[in-house]
Amino acid sequence: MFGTHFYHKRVRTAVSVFGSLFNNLHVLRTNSAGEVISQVKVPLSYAPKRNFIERINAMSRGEDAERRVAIKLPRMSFEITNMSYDPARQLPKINRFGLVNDDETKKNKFYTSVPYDVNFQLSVYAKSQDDALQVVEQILPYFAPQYTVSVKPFSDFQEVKEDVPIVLDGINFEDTYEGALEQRRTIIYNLDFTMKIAFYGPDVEQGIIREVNNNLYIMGDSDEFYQRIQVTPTPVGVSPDSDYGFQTVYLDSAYD
Amino acid sequence: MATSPYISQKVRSEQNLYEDIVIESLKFYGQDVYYIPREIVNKDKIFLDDVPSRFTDAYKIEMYIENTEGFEGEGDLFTKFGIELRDQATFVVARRRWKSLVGNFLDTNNFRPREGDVIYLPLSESIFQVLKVETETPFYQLSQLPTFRLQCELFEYSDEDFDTGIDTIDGVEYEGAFQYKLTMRDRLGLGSTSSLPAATTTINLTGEVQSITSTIAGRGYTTAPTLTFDLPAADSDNAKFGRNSLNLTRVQGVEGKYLFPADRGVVDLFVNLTDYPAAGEFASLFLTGGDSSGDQYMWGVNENGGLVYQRGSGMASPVGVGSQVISRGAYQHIAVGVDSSELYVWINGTRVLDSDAGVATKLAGTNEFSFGGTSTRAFGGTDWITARGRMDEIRVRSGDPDSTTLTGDSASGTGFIVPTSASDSDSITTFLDHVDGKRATATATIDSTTGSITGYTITDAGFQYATAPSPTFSAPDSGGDFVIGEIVSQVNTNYTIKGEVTDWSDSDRVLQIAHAGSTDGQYREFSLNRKVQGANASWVPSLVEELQNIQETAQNKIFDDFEGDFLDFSEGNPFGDMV
Repeated sequence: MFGTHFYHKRVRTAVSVFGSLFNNLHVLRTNSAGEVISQVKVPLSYAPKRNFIERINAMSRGEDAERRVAIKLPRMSFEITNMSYDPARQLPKINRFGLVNDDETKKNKFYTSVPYDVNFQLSVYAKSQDDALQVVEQILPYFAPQYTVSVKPFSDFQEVKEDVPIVLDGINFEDTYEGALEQRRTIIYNLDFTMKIAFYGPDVEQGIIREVNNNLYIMGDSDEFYQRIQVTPTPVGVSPDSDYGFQTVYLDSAYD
Repeated sequence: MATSPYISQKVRSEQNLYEDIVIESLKFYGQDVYYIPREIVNKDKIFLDDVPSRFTDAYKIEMYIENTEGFEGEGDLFTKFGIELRDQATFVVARRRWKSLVGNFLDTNNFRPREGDVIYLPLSESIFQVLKVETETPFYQLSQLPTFRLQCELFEYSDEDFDTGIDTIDGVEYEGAFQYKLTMRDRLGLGSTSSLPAATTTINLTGEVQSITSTIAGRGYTTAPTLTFDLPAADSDNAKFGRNSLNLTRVQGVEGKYLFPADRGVVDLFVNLTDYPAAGEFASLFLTGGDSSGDQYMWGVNENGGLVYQRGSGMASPVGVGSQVISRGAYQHIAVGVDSSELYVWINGTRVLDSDAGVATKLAGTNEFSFGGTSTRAFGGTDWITARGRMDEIRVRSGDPDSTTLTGDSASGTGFIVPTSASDSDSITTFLDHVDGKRATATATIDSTTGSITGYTITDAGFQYATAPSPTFSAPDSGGDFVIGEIVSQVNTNYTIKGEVTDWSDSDRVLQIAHAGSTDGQYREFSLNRKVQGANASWVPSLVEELQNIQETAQNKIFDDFEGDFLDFSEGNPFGDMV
């Protein structure tokens, strides 16, 4: 029924945008003199992935290193947990906006987007409370409770930008410190976010009206032709996003 | 009812036998492992965490692995954080062996293995952390506890420092620690000595450095190198005392002002003339100071070797001093004294002149003195020529010229005690020059981009160089080899950042550093154009990158690269941009 293939990679972009916000967080460890003895950039990855690719990557350091340790910490991952329609942001469905095409005689047209909330969960896994809290504290101050980024939603139309709010909905954490001595302790902070994005349908390529002719007739029984008014942009062939004016020509013939 | 006094389970010999058998069994069926005690560098007193830990010792000991069918635990899990290996193992170790091989070397809590310590199992090349130590299994057989049972799981690595000296163990930090990759600035072949800077100099007749010309500009300096000149070569054979003497023939001389003017004093020095001037000529030896050119005195020798002098004004020609001549071929001592208008002259300790000069006169004053070749000039209407020979040990002292303090002669009161060794300066010495040569000094300027020398400035020309000296240079900042495991540092304006070398490639000049951190407790990054200093190496980074070894599948860089395509951070990413 819909037929036309299009793919604006909006969710893929949303994942990348979300990831780029948290790809530069560090954890510092100090000695008793207050000197930093280790500063670590916290690795970040998108959680859902092919397990064999992860496995192969883990093998990249050779057989000796493959099973040397259980896991390397700290690290962060995030994933999409839900997507839901947001009716509050829905604009009139017949609204549209046009974009300049490389061909000066055409333009691209998009209809109103459909707003969706995409829920992300960012998880911080650390070996110590202090490591985890360093990461969390580097994130929280930016969300009050939302932080807005400007996103270019279309790779083909870089001039289009939209503000995308990212709302921090809440934090929960687990610290399995209780239990048998031989039980592993894990410290994981989960931060839930909502990214407010919009989905766009296919862009439609449309010709641009570059000449308007208006034939005037004398009202009466004869409907005699009186004059033709022709309006064209000047200079001729100008791009729609350039500076231009209009030239109005009055013609005696209806067919020029 | 009490236990039977006739039966005992605590027979020491039986206990020892049982323990020996246990130890022997563990030696038969066990594995060699490394027991690695944990060193807590800094304890978090709020959360009671060991924020950073270090492992620097490894003790080889045999342990029995209880798991016969494979490691226990949940095995390999695929989680949101990637692959996680949850292998568990139980190790059994003999108490006596552990105490003798490990416990005795630990400072605290050394009576049993400790939770948190680490065991490296070479069999699987895995590192296990001790989660629980069972001390009562098996339970008091023969009323003793011969073994420890260590329940362990695979170690979670979190940038801990492993410096045990055993490569396979320390490899965990080289593989897993967050590291910086520094690509060092190209030195363009500065590895060989011949590529160090080199320069030549020119000197004038008096042996002063006149110019420095670069023959090799060198490379790799971040600060201008230090130039060092040798002292002029010693010429003791021609000196009266010390290393050198003024070569009058080469017009070497000493000029300047006395430290303080005085109207009474003595000038004394040694001269070794090789020739007398030709007939009718006068060769200058020295020019004394005075308040004006008119009351300066020029002293010299005539064609017969007689000492002569001429005042700047009021004397038409040089006047001879007695009949004693200044012999040639050996050092002769000359002393000249002034007391207001009275002139005194001693040659080789004998006073040959005690005369009223007729006018107020001075040896010192605002006018400059000149000794040796530089005193050659037209003076008092006489064209004084350069004397030929040597001059040494020039001394000017203020005070009563015929006092014993200056002459040293207390016996006759008319003699002058000729110095037999180099004199020392004292409170009445206004000028003293042993004429032992003077070292030249100079500074260099560099091109900040290439680190090459672009020019020189002579700050002291030196003196008495017989041949043009060549400067030596401090080594450039770049050079040498870093050693894996050593601590390197980079000094910045307000902080020093340090780290441990995990890899160094001299062929492509790439240095990898783990456990980096700043001394000021803040997050810092390695700077470009500042040298990274090791024990025997120093290089300047031109590129600093991050190696995210902690997680092979980390996507930080991917997201960062992607950022520019779809994010519009016209005011900059508030979370910061990656290096």
